Amino acid sequence: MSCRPESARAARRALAVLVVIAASSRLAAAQAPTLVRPADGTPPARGVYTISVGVEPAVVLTLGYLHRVGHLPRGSGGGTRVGVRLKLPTTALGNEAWRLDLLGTGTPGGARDWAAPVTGALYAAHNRNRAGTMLGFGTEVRVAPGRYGPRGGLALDLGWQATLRTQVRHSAESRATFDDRYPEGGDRASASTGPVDGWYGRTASRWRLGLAGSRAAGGSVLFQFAVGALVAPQRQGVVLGFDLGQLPFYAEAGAKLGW
Amino acid sequence: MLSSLAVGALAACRPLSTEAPGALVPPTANQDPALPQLRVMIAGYSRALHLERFGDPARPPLFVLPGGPGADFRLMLALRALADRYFVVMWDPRGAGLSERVPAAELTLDASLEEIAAVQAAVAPGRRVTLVGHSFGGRLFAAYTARHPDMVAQLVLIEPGALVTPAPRDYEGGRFSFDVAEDFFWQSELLTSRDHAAADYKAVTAVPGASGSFTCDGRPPAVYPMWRFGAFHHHVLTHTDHAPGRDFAWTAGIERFAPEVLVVAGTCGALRAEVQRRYAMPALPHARLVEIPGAGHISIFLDHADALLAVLRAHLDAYQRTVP
Repeated sequence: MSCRPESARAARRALAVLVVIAASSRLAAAQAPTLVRPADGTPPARGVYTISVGVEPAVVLTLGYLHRVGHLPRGSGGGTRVGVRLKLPTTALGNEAWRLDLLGTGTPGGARDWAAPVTGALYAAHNRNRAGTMLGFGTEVRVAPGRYGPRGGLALDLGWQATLRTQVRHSAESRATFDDRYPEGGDRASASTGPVDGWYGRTASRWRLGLAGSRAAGGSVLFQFAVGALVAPQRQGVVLGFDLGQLPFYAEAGAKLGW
Repeated sequence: MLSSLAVGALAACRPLSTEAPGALVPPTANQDPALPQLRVMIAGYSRALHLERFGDPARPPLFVLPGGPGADFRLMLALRALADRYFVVMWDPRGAGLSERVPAAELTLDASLEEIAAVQAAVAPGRRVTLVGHSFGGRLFAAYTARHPDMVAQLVLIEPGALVTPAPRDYEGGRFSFDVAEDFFWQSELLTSRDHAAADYKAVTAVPGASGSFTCDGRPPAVYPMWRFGAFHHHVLTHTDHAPGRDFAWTAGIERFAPEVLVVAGTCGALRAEVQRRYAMPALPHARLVEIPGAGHISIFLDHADALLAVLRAHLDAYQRTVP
Protein backbone atom coordinates (compact mmCIF):
# COMPACT_ATOMS: atom_id res chain seq x y z
CA MET A 1 0.00 0.00 0.00
CA SER A 2 1.53 3.29 -1.04
CA CYS A 3 0.77 6.44 0.96
CA ARG A 4 0.49 9.50 -1.27
CA PRO A 5 -0.48 13.16 -0.83
CA GLU A 6 -3.59 12.63 -2.91
CA SER A 7 -4.90 10.43 -0.13
CA ALA A 8 -6.53 13.59 1.25
CA ARG A 9 -9.14 13.19 -1.47
CA ALA A 10 -9.73 9.59 -0.39
CA ALA A 11 -10.05 10.81 3.18
CA ARG A 12 -12.76 13.28 2.18
CA ARG A 13 -14.56 10.50 0.33
CA ALA A 14 -14.42 8.22 3.36
CA LEU A 15 -15.67 11.02 5.57
CA ALA A 16 -18.57 11.58 3.18
CA VAL A 17 -19.53 7.91 3.48
CA LEU A 18 -19.55 8.22 7.24
CA VAL A 19 -21.65 11.37 7.12
CA VAL A 20 -24.22 9.77 4.82
CA ILE A 21 -24.55 6.77 7.10
CA ALA A 22 -24.76 8.92 10.18
CA ALA A 23 -27.37 11.09 8.51
CA SER A 24 -29.46 8.10 7.54
CA SER A 25 -29.45 6.96 11.13
CA ARG A 26 -30.61 10.41 12.32
CA LEU A 27 -33.64 10.50 10.09
CA ALA A 28 -36.91 10.56 11.99
CA ALA A 29 -38.66 8.45 13.07
CA ALA A 30 -40.81 5.28 12.93
CA GLN A 31 -39.74 1.79 13.77
CA ALA A 32 -36.80 0.70 11.72
CA PRO A 33 -35.83 -1.79 10.55
CA THR A 34 -38.10 -4.03 12.55
CA LEU A 35 -40.86 -4.11 9.93
CA VAL A 36 -43.70 -3.36 12.25
CA ARG A 37 -45.54 -0.24 13.33
CA PRO A 38 -46.50 -0.39 16.99
CA ALA A 39 -50.00 0.74 17.95
CA ASP A 40 -50.27 4.44 18.63
CA GLY A 41 -49.19 5.35 22.08
CA THR A 42 -47.12 2.27 22.61
CA PRO A 43 -43.72 3.42 23.75
CA PRO A 44 -40.95 1.63 21.91
CA ALA A 45 -38.36 -0.16 23.94
CA ARG A 46 -35.10 1.62 24.41
CA GLY A 47 -33.06 -1.50 23.74
CA VAL A 48 -33.68 -4.16 21.07
CA TYR A 49 -31.85 -7.45 20.89
CA THR A 50 -31.71 -9.34 17.61
CA ILE A 51 -30.78 -12.87 16.70
CA SER A 52 -30.97 -14.50 13.30
CA VAL A 53 -29.71 -17.42 11.30
CA GLY A 54 -28.97 -16.93 7.64
CA VAL A 55 -27.64 -18.56 4.51
CA GLU A 56 -25.71 -16.09 2.35
CA PRO A 57 -24.81 -18.77 1.14
CA ALA A 58 -22.41 -19.18 4.07
CA VAL A 59 -24.38 -20.29 7.09
CA VAL A 60 -24.23 -17.47 9.61
CA LEU A 61 -25.46 -16.60 13.07
CA THR A 62 -26.05 -12.92 13.70
CA LEU A 63 -26.44 -11.30 17.10
CA GLY A 64 -27.18 -7.62 17.57
CA TYR A 65 -28.23 -4.87 19.89
CA LEU A 66 -29.88 -1.58 18.88
CA HIS A 67 -30.34 1.34 21.24
CA ARG A 68 -32.84 4.14 20.75
CA VAL A 69 -31.22 7.53 20.80
CA GLY A 70 -32.30 11.13 20.52
CA HIS A 71 -35.74 12.73 20.49
CA LEU A 72 -38.74 10.45 19.87
CA PRO A 73 -41.34 12.22 17.68
CA ARG A 74 -45.02 11.86 18.55
CA GLY A 75 -46.59 8.79 17.02
CA SER A 76 -43.32 7.35 15.94
CA GLY A 77 -42.24 3.76 16.39
CA GLY A 78 -38.71 2.88 17.35
CA GLY A 79 -37.02 6.17 16.55
CA THR A 80 -33.43 6.41 15.56
CA ARG A 81 -31.27 3.63 16.82
CA VAL A 82 -27.61 2.84 16.87
CA GLY A 83 -26.04 -0.44 17.75
CA VAL A 84 -23.70 -3.26 17.03
CA ARG A 85 -24.08 -6.56 15.26
CA LEU A 86 -21.84 -9.61 15.21
CA LYS A 87 -22.05 -12.07 12.35
CA LEU A 88 -20.39 -15.47 12.73
CA PRO A 89 -20.13 -18.29 10.18
CA THR A 90 -19.76 -21.89 11.30
CA THR A 91 -16.01 -21.54 10.73
CA ALA A 92 -15.79 -18.72 13.29
CA LEU A 93 -13.57 -20.61 15.68
CA GLY A 94 -11.39 -22.53 13.27
CA ASN A 95 -10.82 -19.69 10.82
CA GLU A 96 -11.15 -16.66 13.08
CA ALA A 97 -14.04 -15.67 10.85
CA TRP A 98 -16.29 -12.84 11.99
CA ARG A 99 -17.89 -9.60 10.97
CA LEU A 100 -18.62 -6.77 13.38
CA ASP A 101 -21.00 -3.98 12.37
CA LEU A 102 -21.62 -0.54 13.78
CA LEU A 103 -25.23 0.20 12.87
CA GLY A 104 -27.51 3.14 12.47
CA THR A 105 -31.21 2.77 11.63
CA GLY A 106 -34.00 5.16 10.89
CA THR A 107 -37.10 5.64 8.74
CA PRO A 108 -37.18 8.69 6.50
CA GLY A 109 -40.69 10.01 5.78
CA GLY A 110 -43.43 7.77 4.43
CA ALA A 111 -47.19 7.62 4.80
CA ARG A 112 -48.79 6.13 7.90
CA ASP A 113 -48.63 2.47 6.84
CA TRP A 114 -45.94 2.80 4.24
CA ALA A 115 -42.34 3.38 5.10
CA ALA A 116 -38.81 2.71 3.98
CA PRO A 117 -36.62 1.89 6.95
CA VAL A 118 -32.92 2.35 6.31
CA THR A 119 -30.08 0.56 7.98
CA GLY A 120 -26.52 1.74 7.46
CA ALA A 121 -23.52 -0.13 8.70
CA LEU A 122 -19.79 0.21 8.87
CA TYR A 123 -18.21 -3.15 9.32
CA ALA A 124 -14.98 -4.96 9.91
CA ALA A 125 -14.67 -8.55 8.72
CA HIS A 126 -11.98 -11.14 9.21
CA ASN A 127 -11.00 -14.55 7.92
CA ARG A 128 -7.99 -16.82 8.04
CA ASN A 129 -7.49 -19.87 5.86
CA ARG A 130 -4.91 -21.81 3.90
CA ALA A 131 -4.19 -18.81 1.66
CA GLY A 132 -3.69 -16.24 4.36
CA THR A 133 -5.40 -13.74 6.61
CA MET A 134 -7.80 -11.01 5.54
CA LEU A 135 -9.10 -8.09 7.56
CA GLY A 136 -11.48 -5.83 5.70
CA PHE A 137 -13.51 -2.71 6.29
CA GLY A 138 -16.64 -1.87 4.43
CA THR A 139 -20.08 -0.44 4.40
CA GLU A 140 -23.55 -1.83 3.88
CA VAL A 141 -26.84 -0.08 3.31
CA ARG A 142 -30.21 -1.84 3.40
CA VAL A 143 -33.58 -0.28 2.70
CA ALA A 144 -36.90 -2.04 3.23
CA PRO A 145 -39.71 -0.09 1.55
CA GLY A 146 -43.04 -1.67 2.30
CA ARG A 147 -46.24 -1.74 4.28
CA TYR A 148 -46.09 -1.92 8.03
CA GLY A 149 -48.90 -2.59 10.43
CA PRO A 150 -49.09 -3.13 14.18
CA ARG A 151 -48.94 -6.91 13.86
CA GLY A 152 -46.36 -7.23 11.10
CA GLY A 153 -45.14 -6.03 7.76
CA LEU A 154 -44.11 -6.98 4.28
CA ALA A 155 -41.44 -5.15 2.32
CA LEU A 156 -38.81 -5.31 -0.33
CA ASP A 157 -35.32 -5.89 0.99
CA LEU A 158 -32.82 -3.86 -1.02
CA GLY A 159 -29.16 -3.72 -0.13
CA TRP A 160 -25.66 -2.92 -1.21
CA GLN A 161 -22.47 -4.01 0.46
CA ALA A 162 -18.91 -3.05 -0.37
CA THR A 163 -15.69 -4.01 1.32
CA LEU A 164 -13.62 -0.95 0.55
CA ARG A 165 -10.26 -1.88 2.04
CA THR A 166 -8.90 -5.30 2.87
CA GLN A 167 -5.57 -6.08 4.40
CA VAL A 168 -4.23 -9.33 2.98
CA ARG A 169 -1.42 -11.21 4.65
CA HIS A 170 -0.40 -14.19 2.58
CA SER A 171 0.38 -17.55 4.11
CA ALA A 172 3.51 -19.55 3.37
CA GLU A 173 1.41 -21.74 1.09
CA SER A 174 0.20 -18.74 -0.86
CA ARG A 175 3.78 -17.48 -1.17
CA ALA A 176 4.85 -20.89 -2.41
CA THR A 177 2.59 -20.50 -5.45
CA PHE A 178 5.25 -18.08 -6.74
CA ASP A 179 8.11 -20.59 -6.43
CA ASP A 180 9.66 -22.68 -9.20
CA ARG A 181 8.09 -20.78 -12.08
CA TYR A 182 11.22 -19.89 -13.97
CA PRO A 183 13.62 -22.29 -15.69
CA GLU A 184 17.11 -22.45 -14.26
CA GLY A 185 19.41 -20.15 -16.15
CA GLY A 186 16.55 -18.27 -17.80
CA ASP A 187 16.36 -14.51 -18.20
CA ARG A 188 14.74 -13.23 -15.03
CA ALA A 189 15.18 -9.53 -15.66
CA SER A 190 11.42 -9.09 -15.78
CA ALA A 191 10.63 -11.86 -13.32
CA SER A 192 7.85 -11.17 -10.86
CA THR A 193 8.03 -11.70 -7.14
CA GLY A 194 5.17 -11.91 -4.79
CA PRO A 195 2.52 -12.16 -3.57
CA VAL A 196 2.08 -8.70 -2.10
CA ASP A 197 0.92 -8.20 1.46
CA GLY A 198 -0.95 -4.96 2.04
CA TRP A 199 -4.20 -3.08 1.74
CA TYR A 200 -6.33 -3.86 -1.30
CA GLY A 201 -9.12 -1.61 -2.48
CA ARG A 202 -12.74 -2.47 -3.31
CA THR A 203 -12.27 -6.18 -2.83
CA ALA A 204 -15.91 -7.14 -2.52
CA SER A 205 -19.32 -5.87 -3.46
CA ARG A 206 -22.74 -7.50 -3.39
CA TRP A 207 -26.26 -6.38 -4.20
CA ARG A 208 -29.33 -7.65 -2.47
CA LEU A 209 -32.90 -7.83 -3.74
CA GLY A 210 -35.38 -9.75 -1.71
CA LEU A 211 -38.60 -9.87 0.20
CA ALA A 212 -38.79 -9.36 3.94
CA GLY A 213 -41.63 -9.95 6.32
CA SER A 214 -42.34 -9.84 10.00
CA ARG A 215 -44.93 -11.00 12.49
CA ALA A 216 -45.35 -9.79 16.03
CA ALA A 217 -45.77 -12.30 18.82
CA GLY A 218 -46.92 -10.60 21.96
CA GLY A 219 -45.70 -7.19 22.92
CA SER A 220 -41.98 -7.64 22.81
CA VAL A 221 -41.11 -10.36 20.33
CA LEU A 222 -41.03 -9.95 16.58
CA PHE A 223 -40.22 -12.72 14.15
CA GLN A 224 -38.69 -11.71 10.84
CA PHE A 225 -37.59 -13.37 7.63
CA ALA A 226 -36.00 -12.30 4.39
CA VAL A 227 -35.25 -14.21 1.23
CA GLY A 228 -34.00 -13.21 -2.17
CA ALA A 229 -31.04 -12.70 -4.47
CA LEU A 230 -27.56 -11.75 -3.29
CA VAL A 231 -25.47 -11.02 -6.34
CA ALA A 232 -21.76 -10.23 -6.61
CA PRO A 233 -20.85 -8.51 -9.90
CA GLN A 234 -18.42 -10.65 -11.87
CA ARG A 235 -16.31 -9.36 -14.75
CA GLN A 236 -16.89 -12.42 -16.93
CA GLY A 237 -20.62 -12.17 -16.38
CA VAL A 238 -21.02 -15.26 -14.20
CA VAL A 239 -24.04 -14.88 -11.94
CA LEU A 240 -24.46 -18.51 -10.94
CA GLY A 241 -21.34 -20.59 -10.48
CA PHE A 242 -20.54 -22.60 -7.39
CA ASP A 243 -16.86 -22.88 -8.34
CA LEU A 244 -16.60 -19.09 -8.44
CA GLY A 245 -18.43 -18.66 -5.16
CA GLN A 246 -21.40 -17.29 -7.08
CA LEU A 247 -24.52 -18.70 -5.47
CA PRO A 248 -26.80 -15.69 -5.74
CA PHE A 249 -29.32 -16.22 -2.99
CA TYR A 250 -29.80 -15.55 0.66
CA ALA A 251 -32.30 -16.41 3.31
CA GLU A 252 -32.48 -15.35 6.89
CA ALA A 253 -34.85 -15.80 9.75
CA GLY A 254 -34.69 -14.35 13.19
CA ALA A 255 -36.30 -12.57 16.04
CA LYS A 256 -36.16 -9.21 17.77
CA LEU A 257 -36.73 -8.90 21.44
CA GLY A 258 -37.97 -5.71 23.02
CA TRP A 259 -39.27 -3.97 19.91
CA MET B 1 -10.11 0.71 17.91
CA LEU B 2 -11.65 -1.05 14.92
CA SER B 3 -13.39 2.13 13.81
CA SER B 4 -10.10 4.03 14.03
CA LEU B 5 -8.45 1.33 11.95
CA ALA B 6 -11.33 1.49 9.49
CA VAL B 7 -11.16 5.23 9.01
CA GLY B 8 -7.41 5.02 8.70
CA ALA B 9 -7.63 2.23 6.15
CA LEU B 10 -10.28 4.04 4.13
CA ALA B 11 -8.59 7.39 4.15
CA ALA B 12 -4.86 7.18 4.49
CA CYS B 13 -3.36 5.44 1.54
CA ARG B 14 -3.84 4.42 -2.04
CA PRO B 15 -4.74 0.73 -2.06
CA LEU B 16 -3.46 -2.12 -4.18
CA SER B 17 -5.61 -3.62 -6.89
CA THR B 18 -6.48 -7.30 -6.77
CA GLU B 19 -5.96 -7.33 -10.53
CA ALA B 20 -2.40 -6.02 -10.43
CA PRO B 21 -0.27 -8.79 -11.99
CA GLY B 22 1.57 -10.69 -9.28
CA ALA B 23 -0.29 -9.10 -6.37
CA LEU B 24 -2.54 -11.95 -5.23
CA VAL B 25 -1.56 -14.73 -7.62
CA PRO B 26 1.35 -15.28 -10.02
CA PRO B 27 1.02 -13.40 -13.31
CA THR B 28 0.12 -15.25 -16.45
CA ALA B 29 2.41 -15.78 -19.44
CA ASN B 30 1.08 -12.76 -21.32
CA GLN B 31 1.76 -10.62 -18.22
CA ASP B 32 5.20 -12.03 -17.41
CA PRO B 33 7.66 -12.37 -20.30
CA ALA B 34 10.14 -14.16 -18.05
CA LEU B 35 7.86 -17.20 -17.87
CA PRO B 36 8.63 -20.04 -20.30
CA GLN B 37 5.95 -19.77 -22.91
CA LEU B 38 4.72 -20.37 -26.41
CA ARG B 39 2.39 -18.17 -28.39
CA VAL B 40 -0.10 -20.10 -30.51
CA MET B 41 -3.08 -19.23 -32.68
CA ILE B 42 -6.20 -21.03 -31.49
CA ALA B 43 -9.84 -20.41 -32.39
CA GLY B 44 -8.71 -17.35 -34.32
CA TYR B 45 -6.84 -15.73 -31.41
CA SER B 46 -3.15 -15.50 -30.59
CA ARG B 47 -2.68 -16.66 -26.99
CA ALA B 48 0.30 -17.13 -24.69
CA LEU B 49 0.63 -20.61 -23.22
CA HIS B 50 2.74 -21.22 -20.16
CA LEU B 51 4.87 -24.00 -21.65
CA GLU B 52 8.19 -25.47 -20.62
CA ARG B 53 10.50 -27.78 -22.50
CA PHE B 54 12.83 -30.31 -20.84
CA GLY B 55 15.56 -32.31 -22.55
CA ASP B 56 16.99 -32.62 -26.01
CA PRO B 57 14.51 -31.62 -28.75
CA ALA B 58 16.01 -34.36 -30.93
CA ARG B 59 14.59 -37.03 -28.61
CA PRO B 60 11.06 -38.39 -29.07
CA PRO B 61 8.56 -35.70 -28.02
CA LEU B 62 6.43 -36.39 -24.94
CA PHE B 63 3.61 -34.04 -23.94
CA VAL B 64 2.31 -33.70 -20.39
CA LEU B 65 -1.09 -32.14 -19.75
CA PRO B 66 -2.61 -31.41 -16.32
CA GLY B 67 -6.23 -31.81 -15.30
CA GLY B 68 -8.70 -29.80 -13.32
CA PRO B 69 -9.93 -28.46 -15.61
CA GLY B 70 -8.04 -25.36 -14.57
CA ALA B 71 -4.93 -26.89 -13.02
CA ASP B 72 -1.31 -26.22 -13.93
CA PHE B 73 1.50 -28.68 -14.55
CA ARG B 74 3.39 -27.98 -11.33
CA LEU B 75 1.93 -31.06 -9.70
CA MET B 76 3.35 -33.15 -12.56
CA LEU B 77 6.90 -31.79 -12.49
CA ALA B 78 8.22 -35.16 -11.32
CA LEU B 79 7.74 -36.29 -14.91
CA ARG B 80 10.66 -34.03 -15.89
CA ALA B 81 12.76 -37.07 -15.10
CA LEU B 82 11.59 -38.57 -18.39
CA ALA B 83 13.70 -35.94 -20.16
CA ASP B 84 16.63 -38.37 -20.07
CA ARG B 85 14.90 -40.31 -22.87
CA TYR B 86 12.32 -37.86 -24.20
CA PHE B 87 11.90 -34.26 -25.20
CA VAL B 88 9.35 -33.45 -22.51
CA VAL B 89 6.91 -30.58 -23.06
CA MET B 90 4.48 -29.50 -20.34
CA TRP B 91 1.95 -26.71 -20.57
CA ASP B 92 -1.07 -25.17 -18.94
CA PRO B 93 -4.16 -24.97 -21.19
CA ARG B 94 -5.43 -21.53 -22.13
CA GLY B 95 -7.25 -20.00 -19.21
CA ALA B 96 -5.66 -22.44 -16.76
CA GLY B 97 -2.54 -22.31 -14.61
CA LEU B 98 -0.21 -19.58 -15.77
CA SER B 99 -1.49 -19.47 -19.34
CA GLU B 100 -3.30 -16.43 -20.67
CA ARG B 101 -6.88 -15.97 -19.51
CA VAL B 102 -9.43 -16.18 -22.32
CA PRO B 103 -13.16 -15.58 -22.65
CA ALA B 104 -15.66 -18.40 -22.42
CA ALA B 105 -16.17 -18.44 -26.20
CA GLU B 106 -12.63 -19.78 -26.61
CA LEU B 107 -13.02 -22.51 -24.02
CA THR B 108 -14.62 -25.28 -26.01
CA LEU B 109 -13.60 -28.88 -26.35
CA ASP B 110 -12.82 -28.35 -30.04
CA ALA B 111 -10.57 -25.42 -29.15
CA SER B 112 -8.84 -27.55 -26.51
CA LEU B 113 -8.04 -30.19 -29.11
CA GLU B 114 -6.97 -27.46 -31.53
CA GLU B 115 -4.59 -26.25 -28.82
CA ILE B 116 -2.91 -29.66 -28.57
CA ALA B 117 -2.48 -29.71 -32.35
CA ALA B 118 -1.06 -26.18 -32.29
CA VAL B 119 1.51 -27.13 -29.66
CA GLN B 120 2.45 -30.21 -31.62
CA ALA B 121 2.85 -28.18 -34.80
CA ALA B 122 5.03 -25.65 -32.97
CA VAL B 123 7.37 -27.84 -30.92
CA ALA B 124 7.32 -31.20 -32.73
CA PRO B 125 6.30 -30.45 -36.32
CA GLY B 126 5.74 -33.54 -38.41
CA ARG B 127 6.53 -35.89 -35.51
CA ARG B 128 4.30 -38.27 -33.64
CA VAL B 129 4.10 -37.53 -29.93
CA THR B 130 3.74 -39.51 -26.74
CA LEU B 131 0.92 -38.12 -24.63
CA VAL B 132 0.76 -38.33 -20.83
CA GLY B 133 -2.40 -36.78 -19.44
CA HIS B 134 -3.70 -36.53 -15.90
CA SER B 135 -7.36 -36.44 -14.93
CA PHE B 136 -9.18 -34.04 -17.29
CA GLY B 137 -5.92 -33.76 -19.25
CA GLY B 138 -6.14 -37.51 -19.77
CA ARG B 139 -9.61 -37.15 -21.19
CA LEU B 140 -8.40 -34.48 -23.59
CA PHE B 141 -5.44 -36.57 -24.72
CA ALA B 142 -7.73 -39.58 -25.21
CA ALA B 143 -10.06 -37.47 -27.35
CA TYR B 144 -7.11 -36.07 -29.32
CA THR B 145 -5.76 -39.58 -29.95
CA ALA B 146 -9.19 -40.76 -31.06
CA ARG B 147 -9.41 -37.94 -33.59
CA HIS B 148 -5.78 -37.99 -34.74
CA PRO B 149 -4.46 -41.54 -34.17
CA ASP B 150 -1.76 -41.07 -36.78
CA MET B 151 -0.26 -38.12 -34.88
CA VAL B 152 0.21 -39.98 -31.61
CA ALA B 153 2.94 -42.49 -30.79
CA GLN B 154 1.85 -43.56 -27.29
CA LEU B 155 -0.95 -42.68 -24.92
CA VAL B 156 -0.68 -42.77 -21.14
CA LEU B 157 -3.60 -41.77 -18.95
CA ILE B 158 -3.00 -41.16 -15.27
CA GLU B 159 -6.30 -41.47 -13.38
CA PRO B 160 -8.36 -39.97 -16.21
CA GLY B 161 -11.92 -38.90 -15.70
CA ALA B 162 -14.60 -41.29 -16.88
CA LEU B 163 -14.32 -42.18 -20.58
CA VAL B 164 -17.39 -44.37 -21.00
CA THR B 165 -20.61 -43.07 -22.53
CA PRO B 166 -22.75 -42.07 -20.78
CA ALA B 167 -20.49 -40.91 -17.99
CA PRO B 168 -21.51 -42.13 -14.54
CA ARG B 169 -23.62 -39.98 -12.27
CA ASP B 170 -21.99 -41.19 -9.09
CA TYR B 171 -18.65 -39.45 -9.52
CA GLU B 172 -17.54 -38.25 -6.10
CA GLY B 173 -14.34 -36.40 -6.87
CA GLY B 174 -13.63 -32.78 -6.09
CA ARG B 175 -16.54 -32.20 -3.75
CA PHE B 176 -16.32 -29.52 -1.11
CA SER B 177 -16.71 -30.53 2.49
CA PHE B 178 -19.07 -28.32 4.46
CA ASP B 179 -16.22 -26.48 6.17
CA VAL B 180 -14.41 -25.79 2.92
CA ALA B 181 -17.61 -24.55 1.30
CA GLU B 182 -18.38 -22.40 4.32
CA ASP B 183 -14.95 -20.80 4.18
CA PHE B 184 -15.24 -20.38 0.41
CA PHE B 185 -18.54 -18.51 0.68
CA TRP B 186 -17.66 -16.55 3.79
CA GLN B 187 -14.73 -15.02 1.89
CA SER B 188 -17.29 -13.07 -0.15
CA GLU B 189 -17.58 -10.73 2.82
CA LEU B 190 -14.00 -9.74 2.04
CA LEU B 191 -13.23 -10.79 -1.50
CA THR B 192 -15.74 -11.55 -4.24
CA SER B 193 -14.72 -13.40 -7.40
CA ARG B 194 -15.18 -10.34 -9.56
CA ASP B 195 -12.08 -10.92 -11.72
CA HIS B 196 -9.74 -13.75 -12.65
CA ALA B 197 -7.13 -12.96 -10.01
CA ALA B 198 -9.60 -12.82 -7.13
CA ALA B 199 -11.32 -16.02 -8.23
CA ASP B 200 -8.01 -17.83 -8.72
CA TYR B 201 -6.75 -16.64 -5.33
CA LYS B 202 -9.66 -18.33 -3.60
CA ALA B 203 -8.58 -21.58 -5.23
CA VAL B 204 -5.38 -21.59 -3.14
CA THR B 205 -7.63 -22.79 -0.34
CA ALA B 206 -10.53 -24.30 -2.23
CA VAL B 207 -8.65 -26.67 -4.55
CA PRO B 208 -6.69 -28.52 -1.87
CA GLY B 209 -9.80 -28.36 0.31
CA ALA B 210 -11.84 -30.07 -2.38
CA SER B 211 -9.25 -32.79 -2.84
CA GLY B 212 -10.10 -34.84 0.21
CA SER B 213 -12.05 -37.19 -2.03
CA PHE B 214 -8.81 -38.02 -3.85
CA THR B 215 -6.80 -39.17 -0.84
CA CYS B 216 -6.64 -42.37 1.16
CA ASP B 217 -7.85 -40.88 4.42
CA GLY B 218 -10.42 -38.48 2.99
CA ARG B 219 -8.55 -35.44 4.25
CA PRO B 220 -7.22 -32.68 2.01
CA PRO B 221 -3.58 -33.24 1.10
CA ALA B 222 -1.10 -31.44 3.34
CA VAL B 223 0.94 -30.45 0.30
CA TYR B 224 -0.59 -29.49 -3.02
CA PRO B 225 1.95 -27.98 -5.42
CA MET B 226 0.32 -25.49 -7.75
CA TRP B 227 0.99 -22.08 -9.17
CA ARG B 228 -2.46 -20.85 -10.05
CA PHE B 229 -5.80 -22.48 -10.69
CA GLY B 230 -7.96 -21.18 -13.52
CA ALA B 231 -11.29 -20.86 -11.72
CA PHE B 232 -13.15 -19.42 -14.68
CA HIS B 233 -11.69 -22.05 -17.01
CA HIS B 234 -12.92 -24.70 -14.58
CA HIS B 235 -16.35 -23.11 -14.40
CA VAL B 236 -16.79 -22.92 -18.17
CA LEU B 237 -15.66 -26.48 -18.83
CA THR B 238 -17.69 -28.02 -16.04
CA HIS B 239 -20.82 -25.92 -15.51
CA THR B 240 -21.77 -24.29 -18.79
CA ASP B 241 -22.93 -25.35 -22.23
CA HIS B 242 -19.24 -25.71 -23.14
CA ALA B 243 -18.83 -28.58 -20.72
CA PRO B 244 -18.78 -31.98 -22.41
CA GLY B 245 -21.99 -33.66 -21.38
CA ARG B 246 -22.42 -37.13 -19.96
CA ASP B 247 -23.10 -38.42 -23.46
CA PHE B 248 -19.95 -37.02 -24.99
CA ALA B 249 -17.98 -39.78 -26.70
CA TRP B 250 -14.41 -39.11 -25.56
CA THR B 251 -12.87 -42.08 -27.30
CA ALA B 252 -14.98 -42.43 -30.45
CA GLY B 253 -12.54 -43.64 -33.11
CA ILE B 254 -9.75 -44.66 -30.73
CA GLU B 255 -9.90 -48.21 -32.06
CA ARG B 256 -7.86 -46.85 -34.99
CA PHE B 257 -5.00 -46.24 -32.56
CA ALA B 258 -3.00 -49.48 -32.55
CA PRO B 259 -0.49 -49.15 -29.67
CA GLU B 260 -1.49 -50.28 -26.22
CA VAL B 261 -2.86 -47.49 -24.05
CA LEU B 262 -1.52 -47.41 -20.50
CA VAL B 263 -3.84 -46.37 -17.70
CA VAL B 264 -2.17 -45.76 -14.33
CA ALA B 265 -4.15 -45.38 -11.14
CA GLY B 266 -3.67 -45.49 -7.43
CA THR B 267 -5.82 -47.45 -5.03
CA CYS B 268 -7.25 -44.48 -3.13
CA GLY B 269 -9.78 -41.79 -3.94
CA ALA B 270 -12.53 -41.09 -6.42
CA LEU B 271 -10.54 -42.05 -9.52
CA ARG B 272 -8.73 -45.09 -8.12
CA ALA B 273 -8.04 -48.25 -10.12
CA GLU B 274 -11.39 -49.81 -9.28
CA VAL B 275 -13.16 -46.79 -10.79
CA GLN B 276 -10.93 -46.89 -13.86
CA ARG B 277 -11.91 -50.52 -14.45
CA ARG B 278 -15.55 -49.51 -14.57
CA TYR B 279 -15.48 -46.14 -16.27
CA ALA B 280 -12.30 -45.87 -18.36
CA MET B 281 -11.13 -49.30 -19.44
CA PRO B 282 -14.35 -50.28 -21.27
CA ALA B 283 -13.85 -47.28 -23.57
CA LEU B 284 -10.27 -48.24 -24.45
CA PRO B 285 -10.07 -51.38 -26.60
CA HIS B 286 -6.29 -51.81 -26.35
CA ALA B 287 -5.49 -50.76 -22.84
CA ARG B 288 -3.72 -52.02 -19.75
CA LEU B 289 -4.33 -50.82 -16.22
CA VAL B 290 -1.47 -50.63 -13.74
CA GLU B 291 -2.14 -49.95 -10.07
CA ILE B 292 0.13 -48.10 -7.72
CA PRO B 293 -0.80 -49.28 -4.22
CA GLY B 294 -1.47 -46.54 -1.69
CA ALA B 295 -1.46 -43.73 -4.23
CA GLY B 296 -4.22 -41.17 -4.71
CA HIS B 297 -4.98 -38.64 -7.42
CA ILE B 298 -2.53 -36.07 -6.04
CA SER B 299 -0.04 -38.17 -4.11
CA ILE B 300 0.69 -40.28 -7.18
CA PHE B 301 2.99 -37.43 -8.31
CA LEU B 302 4.42 -36.75 -4.87
CA ASP B 303 4.87 -39.61 -2.41
CA HIS B 304 4.57 -42.19 -5.20
CA ALA B 305 6.51 -40.40 -7.92
CA ASP B 306 9.24 -43.04 -8.07
CA ALA B 307 6.72 -45.83 -8.51
CA LEU B 308 4.89 -43.83 -11.16
CA LEU B 309 8.09 -43.12 -13.07
CA ALA B 310 9.05 -46.79 -12.94
CA VAL B 311 5.69 -47.78 -14.44
CA LEU B 312 5.95 -45.13 -17.14
CA ARG B 313 9.52 -46.02 -18.04
CA ALA B 314 8.72 -49.70 -18.31
CA HIS B 315 5.82 -49.00 -20.64
CA LEU B 316 7.50 -46.32 -22.72
CA ASP B 317 10.77 -48.18 -23.06
CA ALA B 318 9.00 -51.33 -24.20
CA TYR B 319 7.39 -49.32 -26.96
CA GLN B 320 10.62 -47.55 -27.92
CA ARG B 321 12.30 -50.92 -28.45
CA THR B 322 9.70 -51.75 -31.09
CA VAL B 323 10.29 -48.52 -33.02
CA PRO B 324 12.85 -48.89 -35.78
